[in-house]
Amino acid sequence: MKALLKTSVYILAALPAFALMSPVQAAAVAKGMHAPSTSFIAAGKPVSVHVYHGHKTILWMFSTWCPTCEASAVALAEKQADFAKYGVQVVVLENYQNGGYPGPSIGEFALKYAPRVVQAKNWTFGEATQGFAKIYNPKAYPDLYYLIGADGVIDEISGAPSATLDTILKFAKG
Amino acid sequence: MKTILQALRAVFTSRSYWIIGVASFLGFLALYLITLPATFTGGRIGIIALRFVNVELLIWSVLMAGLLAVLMPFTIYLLRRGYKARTGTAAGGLIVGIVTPLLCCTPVIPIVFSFVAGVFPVLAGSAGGIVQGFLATHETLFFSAATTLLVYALFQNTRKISEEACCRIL
Repeated sequence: MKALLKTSVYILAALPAFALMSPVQAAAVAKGMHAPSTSFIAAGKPVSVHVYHGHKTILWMFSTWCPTCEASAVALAEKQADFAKYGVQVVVLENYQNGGYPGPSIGEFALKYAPRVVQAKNWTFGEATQGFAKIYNPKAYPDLYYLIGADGVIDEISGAPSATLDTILKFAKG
Repeated sequence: MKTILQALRAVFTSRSYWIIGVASFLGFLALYLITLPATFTGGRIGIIALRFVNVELLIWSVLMAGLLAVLMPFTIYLLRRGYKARTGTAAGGLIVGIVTPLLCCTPVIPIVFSFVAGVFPVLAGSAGGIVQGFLATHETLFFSAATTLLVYALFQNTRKISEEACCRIL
């Protein structure tokens, strides 16, 4: 009985820590900084983050095997009307080497979970290079996004758009 | 099966064990319903997770909470009679069921691996992703393992109750 009770108590005690945990970024990039200029690959070509300066941008890196990312892709695609209305660019990047574990390609992933926005002008689908990952996702979180203002300054760093959609919409509308 | 029925009859003749069972079921069901969907919320638990409960997670939640709802009265029944109940297996089942969705897409494993990589550089890079990817894509396997542990714990305690029932001096 003691073991079962102890386990239940430990789990209940640990749950708030999980609830509060978010991917606070370390190393090179932090909130309030200018988004560093580095390139990812989209449609087979390198694209610099600076291309998006002048637009509010959601820069989301994810792994295609991650269930949170599936739910997040659905959630973000559902808000496309808002993003288009407020001129928000959405950059969706598969993590470098898909975060270290195999999964569907970004094309398959997008068609399955966000088919409505695959052709949208304000959405870019691509892949993070090793150099890009080193700067923007050095800890290889499976799911991490940056909200970058039109001035190129990082407004927020978080994860799981599915669970933090309010923050994203506030940024889009603000 | 006969042993289980005997144990159920022995324990649930008392109203207090029904109350313990129902309370355990509701408590553990709530716990599972706010934690299992964490797999879709990047580890965030609570009310927000309820939005992501689907049929599969509901079935797992009801199944595991149901097993614990029988295990708790069984355990208390044995302890009240001075027997040593087997709770380690049930605790293992509880941990596996709860922790799996909390680890698959959260920053926990990347943070741990980046820390460990300071000591063991071979673990730098995508090692955390391999663990998380495996957890994420084999969640059903982990939930099955958790359920198996709970069933085994139930079996262990059922046997104890049957032994106690057979040797009781009336």
